[in-house]
Amino acid sequence: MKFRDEAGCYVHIPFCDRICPYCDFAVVRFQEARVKRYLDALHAEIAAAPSRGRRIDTMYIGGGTPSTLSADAIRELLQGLFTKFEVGPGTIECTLEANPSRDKAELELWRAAGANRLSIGVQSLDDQELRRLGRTHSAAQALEFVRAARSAGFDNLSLDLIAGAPNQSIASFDRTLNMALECAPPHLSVYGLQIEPQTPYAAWQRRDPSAFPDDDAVADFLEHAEGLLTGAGYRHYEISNFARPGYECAHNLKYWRQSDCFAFGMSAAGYESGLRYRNLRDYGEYCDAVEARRSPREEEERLSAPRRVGEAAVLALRTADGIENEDFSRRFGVDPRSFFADACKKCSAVGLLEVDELGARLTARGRLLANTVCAEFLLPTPSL
Amino acid sequence: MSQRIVGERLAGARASADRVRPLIRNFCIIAHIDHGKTTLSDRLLEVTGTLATRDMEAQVLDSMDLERERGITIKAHPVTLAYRAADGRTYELNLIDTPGHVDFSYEVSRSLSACEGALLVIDAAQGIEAQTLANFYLASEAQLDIIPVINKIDLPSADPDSVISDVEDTLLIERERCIKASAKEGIGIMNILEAIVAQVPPPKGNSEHLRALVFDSHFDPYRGVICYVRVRDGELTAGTRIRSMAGDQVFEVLEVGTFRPHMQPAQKLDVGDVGYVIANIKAVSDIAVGDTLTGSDHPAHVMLPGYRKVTPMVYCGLYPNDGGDYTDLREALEKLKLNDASLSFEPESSIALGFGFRCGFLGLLHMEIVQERLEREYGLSLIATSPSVVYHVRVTNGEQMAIDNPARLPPPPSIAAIEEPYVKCSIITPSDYIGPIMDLCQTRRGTMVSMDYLSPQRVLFVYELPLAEVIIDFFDQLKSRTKGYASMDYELVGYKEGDLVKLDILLNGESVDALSFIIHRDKAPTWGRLLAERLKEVIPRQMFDVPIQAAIGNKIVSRETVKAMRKNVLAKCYGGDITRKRKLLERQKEGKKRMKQVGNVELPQEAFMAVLRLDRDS
Repeated sequence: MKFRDEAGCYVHIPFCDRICPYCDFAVVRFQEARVKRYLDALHAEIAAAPSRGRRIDTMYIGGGTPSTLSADAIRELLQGLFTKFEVGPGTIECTLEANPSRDKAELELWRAAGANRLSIGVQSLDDQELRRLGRTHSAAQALEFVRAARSAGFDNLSLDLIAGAPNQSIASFDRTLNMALECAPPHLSVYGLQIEPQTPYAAWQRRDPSAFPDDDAVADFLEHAEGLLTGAGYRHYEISNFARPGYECAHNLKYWRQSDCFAFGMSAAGYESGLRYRNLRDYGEYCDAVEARRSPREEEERLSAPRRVGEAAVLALRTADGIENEDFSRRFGVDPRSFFADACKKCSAVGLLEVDELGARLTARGRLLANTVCAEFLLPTPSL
Repeated sequence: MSQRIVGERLAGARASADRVRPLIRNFCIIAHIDHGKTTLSDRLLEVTGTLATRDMEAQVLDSMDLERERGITIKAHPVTLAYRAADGRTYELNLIDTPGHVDFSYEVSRSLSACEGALLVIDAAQGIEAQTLANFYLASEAQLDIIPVINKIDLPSADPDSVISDVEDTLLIERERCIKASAKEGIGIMNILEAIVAQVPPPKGNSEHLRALVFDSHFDPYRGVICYVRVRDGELTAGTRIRSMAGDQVFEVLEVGTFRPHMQPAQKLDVGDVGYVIANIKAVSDIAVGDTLTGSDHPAHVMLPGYRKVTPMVYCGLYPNDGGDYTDLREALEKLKLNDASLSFEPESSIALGFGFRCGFLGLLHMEIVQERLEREYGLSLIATSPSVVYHVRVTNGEQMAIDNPARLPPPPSIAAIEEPYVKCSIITPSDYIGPIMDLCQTRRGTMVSMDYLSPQRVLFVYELPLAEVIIDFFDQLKSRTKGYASMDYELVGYKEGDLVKLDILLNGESVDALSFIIHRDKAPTWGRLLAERLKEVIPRQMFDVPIQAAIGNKIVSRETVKAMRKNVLAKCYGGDITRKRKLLERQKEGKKRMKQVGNVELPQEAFMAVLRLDRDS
């Protein structure tokens, strides 16, 4: 009998009041009519999906900006999911992504609907940087929102911050980190800004590369964040994530453990027993497909056994625990020490990987150069 | 070249010529690149009905893709045109196409000596260019009757009358003999055909003792080598045994025929005929261009003049990117060699690049063409080292060595002298660019031999330059400094001693043999600096700092550092990112495969060509 974790469930809410210039997720501008059509399709997709008798123990409503939805819509959505997977509200981790643009009354309604974790898109606590990031809130509003969330009962909350925003300096980044720490959130995500092709930022960078801190500067930022946050008692449990003990995001840990995850909504990506799939990315195509009772899936890929192991390694390496020998032996019946012998040797030789009898994990430098390490682990030479 | 002239003249003074072919004319078309040679060939084929218009792929004679892309002819394809002239008689006009690039000047000279006449095509807008002159001299030396064709008179910028005046002044040809034409528009074509019949002498020869000039050949996988020949004396028939006089090999003729334009078997090839011979020859290297075929039983005593063993001028190392492709590379080179006698290769190994081949080429264009064909037609991924000329090195114990690979240069203390090849380079330029050209030639260690005004607006320079300075970026520089107006042509004139040193490149403290090159001592520091800077740009950041040093012997002349990479991590890796991330990493790994691991440094292919791309001048 193979070991199986409980599954997770991801739902994509694509709506945003305003599209950020660095974003390349599947997003659409908020419009009542669009929202109505989408939610109908989403409910239909959830209803039509076989639940396969699987239990879930995490739910994550991401986007886009789920907090653009009305409290009623959020309640109905969560209710549908709880019913579908036969779990009681409040018994599992249920994360809602939110922007700091709602009041306390609304937050209380989300809480009542069953959400018990918030991931807040703060990004920066410098008003100039926020403007350049195309955000609609100010630093003060963000801080006020965090306070409101707390008083509405959200103890488990996370702040998203960006390292490498245009014209950001290590000093301004440090101010943002310290202000964030003053809120004492149990969880923080610090993302190095990634310039995605075909975003307004990509064009800006082509015009004026000097507006963006370069990779070396961002490396400095990230090292600074690591020092400051681990010093403040947070555990750097994944490349971009920090948490006080017990507050790691259980849902996201599933991705890095290659656990099953059901996915609903446009562009949502799921994983079930070795099959990776993704729904149609386009709003119209997704709604059309569901309305016509066709499958909204755009791509499916069944991972071969060696690919699965390689991918599992790459995902595990993102976490502080890294590749655990015993865990891999149990899950895949292979000994990572021999399966990844070359990769381990190569990466530890240049100081990117730490290998011991328990397993292998990234060093501080390896966390910044994870792509180099992961490329070695992705397609190991021996076959299963 | 001068030796060739004497040879040709002696041959021209043959004693007995008892057979004349009054209805045959053998001619070629010569021109500077882009002056319209190929278009004129096509037009002649079309109006003589040799090929119906609908059958014509544009520019029939240039059949290789690469040739077409580059707008140049590498291979010469003869063709026989049947032309009913104004006098009512039908003539066989043998058109012998010639390669259009300086790299192939020996091949051009062989094609010319298969003819009695030449159409000299000159662009009515561009006027006389360097290759116009070079080709004109070659044709004059071969004692051809030259008919100037002033082409492209339909162009708005055409100025045929002033071009004709230049022809009169520079080439000393009477203006009445110039034919104004537009091959594109079909203007003047009949005049050209009539001039060929009227002005080019009919071929003459001796009816005994076969002598046929091999002026080109190609390899056919089913029939072996197809030799393109011009019969000077005697006749060629199937079944006879022939001997190649230079190669001294005997073959049995299986088939002879003519090109109309496709191969058509014939009873025989007689005095003056141009056609093909198939004689069970396995590779084009078995029958050299310029060789003479004679009867094995009643051989001629003297071979036709002008034969020369072709020696490569430029060498470079070709290495498979993936060491496992070594055998494939060897097989591909062998196959190319079947059809290209001037390509030479032999195995060599490099500490940096592993096992590969030292390949010799006629010139840079030839080198590029071979590389491109290997990559395109044989699907190989190659690393080419920077090109080198052949240096003559005298070591202190008196021994002479020919060095075509800088890595093989003996250590400096044991070198008594190094000689390098020099070329005579003719450059024609509008007079506006005299300064920039003199400047360029001077920085390239040139010595001016002469400077003549062809007209008030056009200047002909003759410079002697080290070939090594010409093969690296000279032509591009010439073009960019003259807004594309200057043209050039060169020929080898001999070897001269020079104060030359080897410049080594060290990566991470290790000398990379494949990056070494030989250069004049005075220029070494500047080039060392430029190359180190350029390498810094093309070498991607690695996991550690990579120092780049340029050194002459033990002396470091320049240093740069590629700083260690600090960050490449993807910030987010959640559900939707996993597949994308996996694909990105797979691509990254594929990209790494195209890098060459040298010591512990990963080098991209461009690094090995960096010396060629030093755009700026020292």
